[in-house]
Parts: sequence; C-alpha cells; structure tokens
Amino acid sequence: MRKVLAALCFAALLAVPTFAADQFTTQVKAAVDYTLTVTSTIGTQTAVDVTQTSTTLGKLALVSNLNGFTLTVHSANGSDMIRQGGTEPYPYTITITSNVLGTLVTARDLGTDYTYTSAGSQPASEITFVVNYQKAADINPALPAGIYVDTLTFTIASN
Amino acid sequence: MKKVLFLMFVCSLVAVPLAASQGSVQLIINGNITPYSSISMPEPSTFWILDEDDNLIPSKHVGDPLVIANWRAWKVKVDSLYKLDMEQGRLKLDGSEVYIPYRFALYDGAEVIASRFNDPSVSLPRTAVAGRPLSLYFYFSDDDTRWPAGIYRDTLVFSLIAD
Repeated sequence: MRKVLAALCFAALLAVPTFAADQFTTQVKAAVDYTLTVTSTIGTQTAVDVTQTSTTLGKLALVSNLNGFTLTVHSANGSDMIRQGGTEPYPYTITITSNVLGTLVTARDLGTDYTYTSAGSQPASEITFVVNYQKAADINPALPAGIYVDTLTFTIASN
Repeated sequence: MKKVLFLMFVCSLVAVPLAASQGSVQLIINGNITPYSSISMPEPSTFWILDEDDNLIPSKHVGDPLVIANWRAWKVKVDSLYKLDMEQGRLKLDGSEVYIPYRFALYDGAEVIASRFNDPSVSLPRTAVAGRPLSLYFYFSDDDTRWPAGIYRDTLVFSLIAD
C-alpha cells in the first residue's frame, strides 16, 4: 500500500509543470523641472493721474509650468500713498484681472496683503494691475500739495 | 584490525570480478538539472524628460533587464500600470491626472524583441550562465504640450515565460 501511495505521489510531482514565469516590478520615474518666466510692463515708478479714478500700473506676463502658484501683492504703506515729507495718506485700492482667470479681485484694500492661489497647471497668462482711488479734487478735506508715494511688491511663487 | 579485514574484504570483491570477467559493466548515470530562471534590473534612476528647449526628449535608455534561464527557449512580457493601450504607455504626474505618453522597445542587441504591452516577445534560447542582457528604451513624441512640473512615474512588470 505504501508503495502505491509513493508511486501516486511521485506521479503527482511529475504532473506539476516545471516552468514558472519569473517576474520583477520596477518603477520608472521622470522629472519635469519647474519653469517660471515673468515679464513685467510695470515700471519701477508709475505716475498716478489724480484727475482720474484709476491708473493702470501695467501687466505681468506669466509663462510657467508650475502646478499652481501663489500671487501676493504687498503695500509698504498699507494701501495708502503717503505724502513725501509728511504723513498725509492718499488711500487707494487695487483691481487685478487675468486674461485667462478673469477678474481676481476688485477694489481690494491692501491694508493686508492680497494673495491669490491658483490650483493646477496654468497656461501662459497676463495679469493686469489697476489702482483705484478718488480724484484728488474730490477728497475732503483737501490733500496738501505734494508727491504721494507707496511701494508695491508683487511676488509669484510655486505652491 | 577489524578495519584492515574489512578493507581486504572490499578489495577482494572489487578485484575478483575485474580479474575474472571478460564481459562489460553497464553504468547508468542519472543527472537532474533543475530548471532555473530569473529576470532582474536595477531600479532606474529618475531622469529629466524635457530638453533645454522644454521639448520632450526623443528617447531614453531606461535600463538593461538581465535574463538568466536554462529553459530551452523563453519569452519576456512587459506590462505597464498606466498604459493607454498595448502600444502606448503613460507616465503619470504625482497627485494629478496628467499623463505623458510613451512607447517602448525591448532590445536583444540591435533587434527589437518586444514593443507591445502584454504581448510576449520573440523567443530566445537558453542563456549563458552570466545571463543575457536586454535593453529597455522609452520613446517620446513632443506635441508642444506644456507639461506641468513634477515627478511622473509608471510601474512596469516584466514576466519571463518558458517557451
């Protein structure tokens, strides 16, 4: 009986296929580097026309493959142009539009930094910055004569 | 003393037939060679997929799979986690549904032995003990897409099949 069982086991062993598919798994990784080109038409100084209620500062042309970016606008004087040699404020706000993303913000006070965060990749775009204010002649009490100044800082960073 | 006697006994057993016999001795030798096979490749390092003009590089040597097999014949099969179809694989951007398509070719020397996913290669014979190195290449076609920055990856599975 034992011999029969042994023979059966041997036969069973022979029936098992001797080939086996060997395998290995590997991961292939490729990298696309970050590119960000910002071209500005915003001058280092822009004269505001105080006889009007807005002035276009200029545009930032943005070419990037960032997977989302953050635009930050900072006012050194918290949304006021300050008279040189004095302290009198000439308040203003900012309107920002993108030819791709539409209007990002309208008449935003820069008492705190303005931040816009885009999600996902963006096509090439142009962002236009306009400052809004009252005509000087409409401000009551009237502002002292002089030159009113503020410094804006535009920052674009990857998310 | 016992050992000496035993040795003498054994010697006499061997010596007698050799001296007395005029016939032949038949010896049957059984050798069992176990089937052996392996396929391996070091993990490829991350590579830049855009050139200095931000175009997709045309091709990339990804690595050299090494096959060691004492099968009479064998084939290799390649599969891709993100393949679009049998001819087109894709590298997926981490955290996003953005894919860079590619085609692949598996070479044995200068001959392409496989270029379709899940399609066994041409049959190749038993390898040398040191194995038979193959070469894996990816091919890309630039279409002016602005590829988002980040890491793109695909997982490949190589299978060795006895033919």
